[in-house]
Amino acid sequence: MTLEEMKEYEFLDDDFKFAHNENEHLIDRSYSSTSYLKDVLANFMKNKGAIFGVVVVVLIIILAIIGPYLNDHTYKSILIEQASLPPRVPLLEKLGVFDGIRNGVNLYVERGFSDLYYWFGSDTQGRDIFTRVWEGTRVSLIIAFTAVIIDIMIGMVYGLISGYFGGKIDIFMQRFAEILNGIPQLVIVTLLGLVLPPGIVSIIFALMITGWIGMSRISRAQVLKLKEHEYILASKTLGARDFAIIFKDILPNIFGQIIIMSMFSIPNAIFMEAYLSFVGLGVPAPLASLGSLINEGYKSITVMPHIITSSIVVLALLMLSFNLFADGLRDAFDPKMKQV
Amino acid sequence: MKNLRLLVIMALVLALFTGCSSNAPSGDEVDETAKVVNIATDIDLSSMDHHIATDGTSFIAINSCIVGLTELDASGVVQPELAESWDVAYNDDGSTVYTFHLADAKWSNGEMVTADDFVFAWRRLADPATASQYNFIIETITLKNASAVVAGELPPEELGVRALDAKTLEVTLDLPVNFFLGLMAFPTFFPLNQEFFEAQGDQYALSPANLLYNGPFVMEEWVSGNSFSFVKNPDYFKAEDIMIDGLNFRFINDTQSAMLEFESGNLDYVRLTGELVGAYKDDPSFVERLQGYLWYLSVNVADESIDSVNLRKAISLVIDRDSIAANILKDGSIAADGIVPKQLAVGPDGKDYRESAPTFVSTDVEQAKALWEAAKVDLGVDTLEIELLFEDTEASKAVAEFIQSEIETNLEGLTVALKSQPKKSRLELMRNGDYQLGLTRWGPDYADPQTYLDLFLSFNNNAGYDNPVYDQTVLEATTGVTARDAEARWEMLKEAERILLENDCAVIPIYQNGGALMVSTRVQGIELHSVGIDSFKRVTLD
Amino acid sequence: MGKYVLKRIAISLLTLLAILFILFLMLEYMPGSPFNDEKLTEAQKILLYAKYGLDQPFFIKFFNYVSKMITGDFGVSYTINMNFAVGDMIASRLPITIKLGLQAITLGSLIGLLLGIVAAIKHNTWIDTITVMISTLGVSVPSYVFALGLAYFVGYKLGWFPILYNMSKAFESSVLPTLALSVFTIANVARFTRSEMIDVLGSDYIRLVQSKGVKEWKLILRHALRNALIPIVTVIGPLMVGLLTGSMVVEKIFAIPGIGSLMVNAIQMNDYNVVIAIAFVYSSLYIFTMLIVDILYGIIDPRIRIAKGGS
Repeated sequence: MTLEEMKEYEFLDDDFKFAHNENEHLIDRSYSSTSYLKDVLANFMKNKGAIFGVVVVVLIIILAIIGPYLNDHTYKSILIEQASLPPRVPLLEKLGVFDGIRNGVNLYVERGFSDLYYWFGSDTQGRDIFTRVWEGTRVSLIIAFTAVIIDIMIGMVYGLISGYFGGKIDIFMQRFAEILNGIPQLVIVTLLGLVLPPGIVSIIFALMITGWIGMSRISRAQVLKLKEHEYILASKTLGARDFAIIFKDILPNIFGQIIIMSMFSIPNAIFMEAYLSFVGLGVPAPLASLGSLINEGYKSITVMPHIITSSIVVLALLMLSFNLFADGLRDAFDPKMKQV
Repeated sequence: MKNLRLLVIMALVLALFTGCSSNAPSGDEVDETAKVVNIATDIDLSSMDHHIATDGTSFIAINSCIVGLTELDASGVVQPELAESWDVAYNDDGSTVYTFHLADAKWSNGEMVTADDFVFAWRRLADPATASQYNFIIETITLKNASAVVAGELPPEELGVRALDAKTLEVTLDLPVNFFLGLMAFPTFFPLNQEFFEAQGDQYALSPANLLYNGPFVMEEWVSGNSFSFVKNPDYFKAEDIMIDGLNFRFINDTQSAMLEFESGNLDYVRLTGELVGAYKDDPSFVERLQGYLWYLSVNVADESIDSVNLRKAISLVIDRDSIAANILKDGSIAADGIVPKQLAVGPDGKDYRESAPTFVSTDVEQAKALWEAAKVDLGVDTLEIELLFEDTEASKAVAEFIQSEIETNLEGLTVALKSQPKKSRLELMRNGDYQLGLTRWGPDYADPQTYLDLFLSFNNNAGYDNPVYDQTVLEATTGVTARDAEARWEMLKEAERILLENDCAVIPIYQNGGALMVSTRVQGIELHSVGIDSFKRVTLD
Repeated sequence: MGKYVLKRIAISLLTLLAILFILFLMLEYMPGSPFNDEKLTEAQKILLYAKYGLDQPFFIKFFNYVSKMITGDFGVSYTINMNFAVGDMIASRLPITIKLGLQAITLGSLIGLLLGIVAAIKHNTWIDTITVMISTLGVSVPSYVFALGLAYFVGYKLGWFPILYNMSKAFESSVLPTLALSVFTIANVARFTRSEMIDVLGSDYIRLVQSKGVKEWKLILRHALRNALIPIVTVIGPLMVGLLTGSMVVEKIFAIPGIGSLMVNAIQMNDYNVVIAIAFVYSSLYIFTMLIVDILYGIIDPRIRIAKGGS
């Protein structure tokens, strides 16, 4: 079509029609009425993996609380003559799973315990694995949560102060963190495990001593970004004191990030605890943690795989769910934020 | 898309192969026809210096390539080795003189093994500068002046050992020690060639080349953290008795991995631990043994908050030791009857010590409950928490947990706090008296009850046990006039054990260590000793 | 740039010295002693302490150690291989650990990249879901479980590869430990690649390239992957060190004479000198990789160099 032709072209009524008729309605639906948190929640609910994660985490936490009381055993009661029995569950045994059979022999019947049911089997000393797994999950969760909460506290304050004041304070604090960070976590945790008396508190302490560094980095980075903003300047001009600015103006703005980071830290803490157990520096016997249970079961994995299976499954599920949950949370809070 | 996938796969293959090609070519192919026994060890070889070595693996290795005056045969009876024969002279003051006549044996550098090699070796052993952890053993045999030399009060030259000529060695003991000849088969007493030793400087015994051999095998290779191997020594003076071409030790920390390798046929000898014992119990290769190690609960008597003989007796009575042996350890361990283990020593009557000595340990829950009530009155408490220290090995942990469960189920109000520590730390804590109950063990140094009873002398134990009657009884039996009368001595040792266990209940014996092994059916003639070093010297292969 | 690198190196050295001091301080308060045996008497212990100079005051010990260390002398082993030079013990084992680590990181990054790319391209399909599952599981399950599983099924049941490390068959016997070690890297790299690639593939410039009609593989390799790689390089550094420490357990299972198994052994046997030396080697490796990553990062992405150089 030449220019001449175009000039002569006549438009008809049906040459154009509305392309976005429906979309205009959408624009009308204003976001101003939904709060930030509702928005986050809506985003989060769309993520199937994250929902799965939450459900499993909640289920596991509930079981960790009530699980140890669902039968008559305690985590340390030993019935030595009932040692090393494979899992057996009423009803399910009729389906050919969890039937107490190993190598074609029903060990319950063979050893004269036809009426007994160990849902996850019994360990090499005749303790109920079901009870121990949930007891262990509880201990692991307590260790992980406590360690992470302390990490947040220390890391956040450290990062905030370091980032906000800058200058010599920042350089000194960063150098210190860098040096501490220069020692591989496993090495420092192992050595601390050796120096400190065995126990949950020591493990938490050992995990904490390097765990806060990541947290402090994030909060420092955020502070560096935020402190140039006008609203901080406004606060300062109005005479707000430094700590008031840090805790009232900056802290609330980085909270989302901290929460996300801590959700990623929890599985890491569980993992480190498991490693400590492997070097023999885990929770003191007969207390159980997921790490120590795996470590115990691992010693007979080739001959009695059932002892390790349940704790591995719980650990894997727990970590999987926490990761999915954290992923979902991150996407919901800030779809643009990258993995830290 | 396809191209990309291909690219990545190619890169992957490439990466694997570059990894491959960077390796040294597998040069030393194993000679399939060589008769070599492959042995798994769960502890790395610590030292080949027989004055420095302290652990079983090192002693087995040393024992394979160096020999001493005597050796133990398969049933543990003393046989001549480097010493062809010996004379014994008893003096009136109780001192005893042994004169050994040496056989014609050679070191691997061609030098003859002479009496001077023994004199030099023993002087080095006693010299404080050597700082040998096993030098106490030279005092145990009551070698003349040994204590003074070890303490640095006399020069090593004053030791009661001398070379009458190149082939004759004279040893003077203060007492007629009846286990002396057996100890001569122990590596700490093996000879050492002075000239060679001095030529090596501080490198002595750090590699196969820095070591001299006079035994059935010579060390061929030693890769720290991995393996060490021996080949037959053609110059060994009894080389015709050795039926295999070599020994190959692999250091494998994890028993399950070792068993996978055993089942693949690459190993002939694996020590089983934990649940694997139960799993292989019916296998034709399964071998059970009894070791001299006795595990017991050491009670810190110095800690007044638990110092009650009734408490100790209650704890002792409540533990079902047979169950520990049969259900937890399952490796041939047996319940302890006393503090002196079985198959340790044979008395003047020709019977095992434990056969004639009474059983001092039993299980009786009702009596234990009554004693616990009495103990509460003694200590003035209603409830008590007691700490049990143990080392972080699988077996110790299981036994400690079982003891805790036994005590807490049966003795109401008595709770046990378990404290797990690595072995070295546990020993340190116990040495400092920083414990209440400690699960510990003792391995015999020589075939006599004395090796156990000495432990609880007031100046030897860290548990604060101090009973003058006990001290007097043991010392009279071992160093007093009674020591010269074998039968009276034997009875007195039993009396000492009775005081220790029945009267004072100062220690709580638990079990005597067994051991479960997997030995390939093609291997015969491994000699397992409950006292002394296991030997692979006379192994034959089908 | 040169000034920046020099400054980084100086800081690294200072950090190392501080680490050494902290390690020394921690060991000072460690319960137990390397010389502890049921049989050892107090007098013998004093002799041994004197022989190895352990009876000296803390700062003298520290000073002696550091001044010797500069000449490459890390002292001798007290228990594992008595009187062996610790430097020699580590020198003979380090190459094995490093080689294993390199193999695992190469294999792991390649598979991880591949998985991540595929998952990103097929975003929100079942392939993506499976990749996410695999990578999350890989991060979740401890490597010793994989190690033992591989040893049992591949090594023993199938008999494809030897289970235990064998000096004369170094490559074949390193296959299983490499696989076991690489799982964690695969999972991490796959996760990271996936999220980076999704980001990059969704960006405007990729849409521009797409609209120009560039072939798909070219688009991914040339335009998308290249940009996604920058942040991935940063995770591989720390992962590498993670591998070294993670190898402790795997080395124990496969009886590999590397420094990981030596460390576990030394911890259990209170072999102070070996513990310090290995912890120090680990820290040096860590700091060194971080240094390299930092410098690499500057080379790949000039913006960072400017920003860091400026501050």
